[in-house]
Amino acid sequence: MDLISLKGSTRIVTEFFEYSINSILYQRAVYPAEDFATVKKYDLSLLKTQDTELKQYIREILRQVHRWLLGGKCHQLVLCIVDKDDGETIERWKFNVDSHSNKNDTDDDMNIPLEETQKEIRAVLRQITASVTFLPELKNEGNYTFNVLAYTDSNANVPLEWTDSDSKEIAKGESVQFKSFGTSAYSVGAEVTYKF
Amino acid sequence: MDKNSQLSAKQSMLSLTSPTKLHVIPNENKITKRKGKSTLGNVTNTINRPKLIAKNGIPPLLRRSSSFFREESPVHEPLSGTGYNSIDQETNPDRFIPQVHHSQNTKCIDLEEDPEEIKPPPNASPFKHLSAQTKKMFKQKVANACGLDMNQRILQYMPLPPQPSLDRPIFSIGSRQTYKFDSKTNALAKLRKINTNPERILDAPGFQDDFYLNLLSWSKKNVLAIALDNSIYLWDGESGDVNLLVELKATCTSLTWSDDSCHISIGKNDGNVEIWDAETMTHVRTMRSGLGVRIGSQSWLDTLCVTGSKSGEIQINDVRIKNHVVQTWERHQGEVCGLSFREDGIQLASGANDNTVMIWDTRQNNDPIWTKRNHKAAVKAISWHPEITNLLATGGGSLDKHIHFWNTTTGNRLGTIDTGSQVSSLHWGQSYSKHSGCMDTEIVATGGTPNNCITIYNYETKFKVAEIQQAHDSRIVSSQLSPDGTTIASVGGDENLKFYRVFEERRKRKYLDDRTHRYTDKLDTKSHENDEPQRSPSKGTYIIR
Repeated sequence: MDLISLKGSTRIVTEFFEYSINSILYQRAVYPAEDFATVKKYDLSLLKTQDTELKQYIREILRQVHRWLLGGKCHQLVLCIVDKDDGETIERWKFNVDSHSNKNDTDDDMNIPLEETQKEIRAVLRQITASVTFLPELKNEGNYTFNVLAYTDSNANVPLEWTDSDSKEIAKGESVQFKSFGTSAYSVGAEVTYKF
Repeated sequence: MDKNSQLSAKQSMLSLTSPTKLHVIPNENKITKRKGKSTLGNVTNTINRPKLIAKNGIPPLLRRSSSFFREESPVHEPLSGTGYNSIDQETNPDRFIPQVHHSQNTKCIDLEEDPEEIKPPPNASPFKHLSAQTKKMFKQKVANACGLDMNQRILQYMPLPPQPSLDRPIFSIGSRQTYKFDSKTNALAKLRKINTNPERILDAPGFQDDFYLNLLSWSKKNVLAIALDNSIYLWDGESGDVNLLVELKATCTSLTWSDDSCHISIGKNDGNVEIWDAETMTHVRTMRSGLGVRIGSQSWLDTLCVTGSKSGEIQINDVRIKNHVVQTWERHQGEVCGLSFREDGIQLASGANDNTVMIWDTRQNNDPIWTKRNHKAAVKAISWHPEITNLLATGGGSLDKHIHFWNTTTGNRLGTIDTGSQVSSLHWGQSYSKHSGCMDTEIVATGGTPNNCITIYNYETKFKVAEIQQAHDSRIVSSQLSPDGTTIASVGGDENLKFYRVFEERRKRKYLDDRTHRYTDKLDTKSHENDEPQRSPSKGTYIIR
């Protein structure tokens, strides 16, 4: 795998995570609407938080995820929306990252043009936005917080801020699979599981 | 001969490094005979080993003596016995994997491939090797029992996500670029020198050391009012004279000068508010809140006096009319300890013991425009920026220790400062910066434990630029800024009233008045505006202005 394409691909994936986390936090009203501002990205109007503290928090998470991705150590990122009262997971947004380099397949058609990737990302983000229509209403508005889980290899370097956790699965939850997108190095799939 | 000599050299080296490891094995096996034998005997033994295993299926003496493994080391040919893992043998000739009945061999291979796994060095004692192996198998077993994959970790990012402010606004203006007041930001924040000695100290016996009360007020005519127990004293900043205004029957819980600096409102323990004329020293009227709980905070807007009570109600009183309560807002869950009108009167900020800051539109009823729950303790310190109308600073109590800055139009949080101590009051000020050649916007905070300090922060950089440590011997409960904006009067649990000069005089910003084509000084007009007769007392005029 060409190093440049790997780095570029990883950046695309990390950036996608940033925008999807922001979108989810806005759509599910984990943070108040006034903290978000519209930005143009992927030819879409997306909402991004303006709150410095939250911005910094997400940045810290993604910086580490980016490092893991570059080393090929991370294959899943999960955003859990958690009830503050009992710590129960209400929604579980899962992003699978498949690295092409792992599969050792020598297909040459892995060089996906950037426009194609952007188009696919747009489709995924639209689906995430649209998912508000079928997701159950979060009744206790403002009483939710979120957690981020990363599925890594056992030999990945783990900074102090990260600790082992359970998978925070939702028992008897409904799952909806979203579209996926691919870059030259990865293919990323998204899925939401919610309490029915 | 060649082979024998090589092997013997190796063997002797090993026995040199750990001669004591050759244990006596109390068994009937051939190996026991080896213990005292020469190296040659070992060579023959290695040849015998496969047979031995083939005989029993599992290696003998596995549990009896670990010295067995050590002596295996010269064996280089892969062993095909069931108890041996051939791959393991190749990579690690001195390692032995005993057969475990329940675990699959493939799993073991996976573990071996793990490069991060800490292996004991080859010359470590056999006990170490065995314990490393056992540990690994134990982990494997536990993982299997839990249905987990050994090669995967689920990691959670542990720091807590920042606290959201919960309530949604009633209406959303949408996102808007925040207006930047001063584009010349000072890149190099420099420490500023301030006099850490007070300019004056006054004794304040009987001052109530209660965080929730507001017992200090400095009028625009430079008269400082302070409540000491049941008495209200007036200190004249020009002459330094002290006068007793009144000795009340009930305890005073808050006092505030009216905008005209002639009247003073005194909130009391029983829920009543008395208005006194400071010039004639006479009682004007008493307003009854009807709540029966103490009035801890007040703010004036011309003829309106807003009071915040212990039970969380905010009442707007019109002092001119008989039924003075014009409006009651009951959204706070705790004692209202901070209240402040914006300069133009359109917005009112309130802070309470329920850890919330509410920003109200005075033209609307009932509901606040914004409710901010980022603070983790009671909010007493509330300060509007004197020139940027929609910039508000709020400070939290002893559990919170943060100052938050808000854009009250969009509801955005503009910044945060961690002060490290209780924030009991906040005041905006300025100082001249040689570096940028303009006045820097600064904010002063008074605090409690551990340092009881008065701290000045630069608003643009949020850095601490000056500090007076141990300004008081006990926590600072309230403070007021002098009318010229230079001196802070602080009063603390040590019953002292101290005056510190913290800011420079506000530079006169020149504004061109279109109609008269003359330069007017905004601050001057502000301080004299109460004398202007054309100003209507109704709120509407403020909005237009």
